[in-house]
Amino acid sequence: MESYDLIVVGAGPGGSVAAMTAAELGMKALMLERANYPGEKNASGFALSSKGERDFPFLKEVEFPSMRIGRRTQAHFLSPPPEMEERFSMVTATSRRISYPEGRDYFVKTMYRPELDRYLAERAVRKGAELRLKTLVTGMVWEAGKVCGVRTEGGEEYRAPVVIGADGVMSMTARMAGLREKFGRDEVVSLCTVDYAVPKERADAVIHENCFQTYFAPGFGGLYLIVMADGVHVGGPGVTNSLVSRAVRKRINPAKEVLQMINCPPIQRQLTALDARPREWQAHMLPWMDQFNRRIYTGGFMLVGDAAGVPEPLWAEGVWQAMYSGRLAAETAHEALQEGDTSASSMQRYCDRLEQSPVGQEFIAGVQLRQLFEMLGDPVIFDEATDLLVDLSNNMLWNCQEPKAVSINRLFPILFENLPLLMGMLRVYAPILLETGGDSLRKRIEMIKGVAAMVAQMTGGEVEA
Amino acid sequence: MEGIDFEVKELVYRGEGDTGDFISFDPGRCDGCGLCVKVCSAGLWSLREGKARLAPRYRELCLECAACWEICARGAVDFSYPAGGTGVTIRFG
Ligand SMILES: Cc1cc2nc3c(=O)[nH]c(=O)nc-3n(C[C@H](O)[C@H](O)[C@H](O)COP(=O)(O)OP(=O)(O)OC[C@H]3O[C@@H](n4cnc5c(N)ncnc54)[C@H](O)[C@@H]3O)c2cc1C
Ligand code: SF4
Ligand code: SF4
Repeated sequence: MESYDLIVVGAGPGGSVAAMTAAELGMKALMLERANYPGEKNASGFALSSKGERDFPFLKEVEFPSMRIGRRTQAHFLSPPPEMEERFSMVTATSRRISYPEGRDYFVKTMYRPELDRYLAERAVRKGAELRLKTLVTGMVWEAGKVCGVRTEGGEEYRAPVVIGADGVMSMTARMAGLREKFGRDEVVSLCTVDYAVPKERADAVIHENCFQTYFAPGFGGLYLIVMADGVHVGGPGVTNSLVSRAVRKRINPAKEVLQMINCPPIQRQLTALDARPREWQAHMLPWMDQFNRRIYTGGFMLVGDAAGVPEPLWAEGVWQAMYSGRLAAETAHEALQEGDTSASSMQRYCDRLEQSPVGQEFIAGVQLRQLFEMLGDPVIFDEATDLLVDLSNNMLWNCQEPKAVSINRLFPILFENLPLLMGMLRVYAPILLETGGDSLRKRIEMIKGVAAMVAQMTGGEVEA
Repeated sequence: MEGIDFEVKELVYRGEGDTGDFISFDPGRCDGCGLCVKVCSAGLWSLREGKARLAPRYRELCLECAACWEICARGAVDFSYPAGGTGVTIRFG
């Protein structure tokens, strides 16, 4: 049995930043990772937003072979299946109005996750943390009602007064710590991605800095097309449907849906122009919560990143959140050790801090915005309110880098201007919908309630929804 | 899929080593709702005589996404992980 100050389960971005922070604070930290190397088990877009460099300045110095900088972003709007042809698209450049310098420079940097995850884990090791690979954690050690270590499948036992569960969306540590059996079916989404190899010169010529693109078709959710230096990820289906709403209500398999959307002419044209060759098929889940999850700690134990459910629920961004929560958890562990108190109430400080941090704020605003943007997938809105859609999607493209509370403020004039349209639509469609389907009517009413709540928040008043 | 020029299964890579069993299925709890069939992007679940069935070769074909475990409301599917250092390798994640 070996003893440490902190044990971190999982060496994804959340775990590596937790271990790195702990080592920097002088703690003896151990990371346990089931994969052969960090990043081997993660499927992602992957685009790291400029918030990453804002909050972790050391990232400014890194250059990965697969990295491409995204100073433009594009949303494509397609007609409904089976045609799925491009109706219009919008490209947005970064703006001087964004409140932090990194965000004014670029939207995202794209890269492959094994490069990022390895770099972060190696940085944690350079700072003094220990990393054990090919090590699956299968049990928890308890003492006096508090977690005080872990057991691996090989039967080894490692002890530490604090354990951090950074083991991703299907967290077994959350289960072993008694925080939940698993996420609810409406709290996750299952995403499929196809990776394509692309000649770098082609990507430079065709895509240049427009490497973060999204496609929406009514009734279909969305798809992302993310271009790295010499590769492409096409994946989804997002942005608005949980695993259960897809499977139960639409009865569509995520793989079939992604393949059907990849087959649409606008995406096929992009792939042809890029001379893209299919290289890998990936499936991965992502937390998709609509309430900030507070069941993320118990005595001697904290959850970070996907295991905590912190990904932002509009853009599915989760790496910056994982890193931020990893740092907060390690700082809390350090404090707890200094005070000699690792009880649940001591760990609760991490949860409170996370909820009040930019991660918590982004999450809460993201939930509100998601309700609104669900209308992007609504066939009625799509047909009747193209102007509104254009304005909203412009705002949506910006809010992937701006603190969302700020971008919510920008929605107000857009919605106000379109109020007659929205009301008119409600008057026309409500009776029809009442007759044809209670379910879709409820969805639209929820949407309008979401708007009302946002207006209330912005004006500081109460609005009856 | 029509028009798609690749076989999904050929684009998945795996490491060496025995994964061990990492999905278990309890037919006694299964009510045949078919949701596991809907969510599996590797097509490893099917329905037979009102009960789900997991492909016997799932260890060689599973993508480790855990969606089948996540979606089953009856607790008929349990998912752990393949042994450390084995299973799917996502090279370009
Ligand atoms: C398809 C897709 C696209 C995405 N696109 C983006 C994007 O563009 N931008 C963005 O910011 N985010 C994106 N995300 C979200 C992002 O991938 C996650 O939020 C992020 O990986 C969370 O980091 P983490 O450290 O919490 O967990 P993970 O990265 O999942 O790391 C968990 C680690 O724990 C290990 N582990 C698990 N269980 C055990 C165990 N029992 N013992 C030992 N080790 C264990 C795993 O092997 C893994 O390495 C995307 C997600 C998906 C699925
Ligand atoms: S989801 Fe569960 S209950 Fe439904 S068919 Fe599959 S195993 Fe049976
Ligand atoms: S883990 Fe995913 S790929 Fe494997 S059987 Fe379950 S749903 Fe299918």
